[in-house]
Amino acid sequence: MLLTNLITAETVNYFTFLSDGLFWAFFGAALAVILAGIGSARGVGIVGEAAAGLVAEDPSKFGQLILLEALPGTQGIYGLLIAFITSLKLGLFSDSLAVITLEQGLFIFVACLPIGIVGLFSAIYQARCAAAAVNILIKNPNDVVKGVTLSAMVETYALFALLISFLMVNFIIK
Amino acid sequence: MAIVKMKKLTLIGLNTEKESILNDLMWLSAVDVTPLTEAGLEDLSGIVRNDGAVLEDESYGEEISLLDSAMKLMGMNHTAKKAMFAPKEKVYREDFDDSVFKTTVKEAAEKAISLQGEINVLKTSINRVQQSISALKPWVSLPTPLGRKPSKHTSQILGTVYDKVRLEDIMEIEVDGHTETTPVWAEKVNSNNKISYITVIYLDAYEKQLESHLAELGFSRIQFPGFNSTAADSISQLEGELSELKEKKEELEKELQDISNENYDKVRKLIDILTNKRKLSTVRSSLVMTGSSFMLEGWLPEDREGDVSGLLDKYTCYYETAEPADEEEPPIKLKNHAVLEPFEAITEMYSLPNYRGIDPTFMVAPFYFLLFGMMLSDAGYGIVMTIACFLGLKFLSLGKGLRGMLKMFMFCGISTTFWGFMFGTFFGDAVGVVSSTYFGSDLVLKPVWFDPVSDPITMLIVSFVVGFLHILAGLGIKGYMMIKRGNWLDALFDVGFWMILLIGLPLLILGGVFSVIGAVFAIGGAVGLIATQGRSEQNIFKKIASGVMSLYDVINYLADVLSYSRILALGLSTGVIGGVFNKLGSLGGSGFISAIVFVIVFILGHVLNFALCALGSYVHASRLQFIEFFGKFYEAGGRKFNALGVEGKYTDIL
Repeated sequence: MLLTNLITAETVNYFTFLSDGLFWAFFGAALAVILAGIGSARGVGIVGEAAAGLVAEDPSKFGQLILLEALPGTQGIYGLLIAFITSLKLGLFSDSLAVITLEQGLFIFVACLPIGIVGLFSAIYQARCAAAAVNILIKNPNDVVKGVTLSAMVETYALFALLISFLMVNFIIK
Repeated sequence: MAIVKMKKLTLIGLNTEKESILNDLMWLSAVDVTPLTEAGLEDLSGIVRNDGAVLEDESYGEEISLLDSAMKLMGMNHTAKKAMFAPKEKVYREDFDDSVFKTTVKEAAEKAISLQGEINVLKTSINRVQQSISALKPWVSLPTPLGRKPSKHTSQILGTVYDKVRLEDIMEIEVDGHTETTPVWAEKVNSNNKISYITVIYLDAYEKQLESHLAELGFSRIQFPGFNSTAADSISQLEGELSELKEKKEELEKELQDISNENYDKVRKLIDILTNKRKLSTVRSSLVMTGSSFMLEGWLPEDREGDVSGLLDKYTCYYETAEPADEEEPPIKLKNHAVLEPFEAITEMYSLPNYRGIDPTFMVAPFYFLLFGMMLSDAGYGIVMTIACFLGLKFLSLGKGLRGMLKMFMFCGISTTFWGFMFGTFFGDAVGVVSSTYFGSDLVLKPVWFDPVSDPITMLIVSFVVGFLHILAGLGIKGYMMIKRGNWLDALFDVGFWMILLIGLPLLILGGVFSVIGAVFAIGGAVGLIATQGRSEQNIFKKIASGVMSLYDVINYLADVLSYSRILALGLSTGVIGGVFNKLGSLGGSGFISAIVFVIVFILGHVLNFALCALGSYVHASRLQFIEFFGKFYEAGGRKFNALGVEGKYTDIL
């Protein structure tokens, strides 16, 4: 009896932040950067591994390889973009934080998910495509832009996710 | 329209004039020589045989690879300073026949390669001598000669042991069960890094016992075969040799450097000349010939016909030019106004058009210009891009492809600047940040039109409108091609009705009179489509069913238009990320140090953002052309017109 009382009292104290809208909003912003960032880091790594093999044989291709390697890096930037917009709207860069309801905070949390999740996976799939395009560079260096374009097709969906995240964040907090 | 009309050239000439005719054609650079087709060869089988210029071809290959390696070598060794963007050396036709030039340059190349070989041999010798010297170094203080017996009944060995081993232990060897010290004398000559360098002198009779004793102590023997004097003498002798070798190497290196300085450019020139000669001989070997005549087939642009016939009339040869037959596929050469020309690269990247299709560059160019500008949409980036490309075009000597690329980006830079001012971005929000942080004013760059970040829905609609127009333009070209081929009805059914329907649908949303007009258009178009899209079917039910089904394509058009929302997404990412960097830089406030930090963050951040966003705009503007636009009408698959002509990798051949 006593124990239950204790736990309940403690629980309430510990978890009040869950009913704070700001927590959820910042949690969403953080997730956008975390997930999309993981995807881009993994993606850039995948292409980098494939590229390093070619650099070993032909260092003059380095410039074009950097181009391919940069492609899956954009998702991380999109994540950063959403997190930045969210933080800006929450007043992180002004004198005081914005006052929002729990509901608004949860909505912002949801709004940050598209770019986080789609960014994570699309960066990896795009990287595989770009790594395959390294072969184009080996066999036919003049056609490397075609490889870039093939790989950029994957990014379309990250762009759409960015768009939706942006529109949602933008309309939840005016 | 802008695909150059081609004519087919058939030429029969005398073998004696072959070399000279081909040479002239190469310098004219107007004919794309094609190998005889299978069918053509079959018709002539038994009469002609292939030309056998293969051997000559191989000898060019050998010469070129020799010169290539000489060039790489000279490139590493030459010290002559050259202006960074010096124009390429000019090569004239007379240079091709200059056999003295060829011989001297080839000799220089061979000389350079053999010099490098000698230098490498010397380097190996120097290495060996240096190793011997460092091996002898620890024994410098040993007074006895290295490889000689000290006396008739004694021998000397040298070696190393760990310095924990005492000399007394070495001298105590076991003979017949008891320890003896007389037959062995050991002395420490040097020690270094926990290793002692020991010399051991012993009576020959005890050699066996000593050997096993030393092995137990971990003694490892060192021998200097071929050295008979003392270590010190040997070293001074080797050092003499070393300096001699080094001097010789320096001499040779100087000679190689002189040869490289003098011949580097010449070798490059000769490589260009020989590469072109090899190309000519490759073309020659693809021709067919009889005992005394040869035959050549190829394509030439209509406007060069006069040049070619003027040239051929000088020879005793028969030739004719003809319009391409229906089943023939002439090679493709595009011709556009100078402003549109750089955008041919976009068309070409996808694929050249079919000879009987249309060159879409005239539509690709304006939309690419528009889309790229809207995507990058930053006045600062646009201005930098335009100026950089302009300076590049003015001061760099570049290949044709690269020039076109720069020109295209210069135009795109202008468009980027325009849209940047429309949307009020100049290096992100740099104007606002700088003025509020450092000057305390609230000056901002006001957008001429509107700010997409605060009003994204308007921007989304603008994007869709642009996409809608782009797609209509694609349909329009499709209709034009059908009309040009005389298929009036197809153009009306497959393009006209769709256009009516597509124009009607967005009008529906606008309300008022527009909705009425839109409804009329949409219904009219849909009815037209239902009535006509099944026209290839026999059965009346199938006709109607296919007609109704065709309306499903509305979804595809909708998806195409939605795809243009990437204009908004890319525009946002440029502006907002630019803003992030400005914000980061200005967090420090307004002090002097903070201003320096701001400048550094500003430059690094914007370079990064510009690089990524320009790449994104380039790729996604291309994608919209390839998928959404070309998908509507484009007939691809042409082969590029590749005239037999001279071209230089390192020089300008005039």
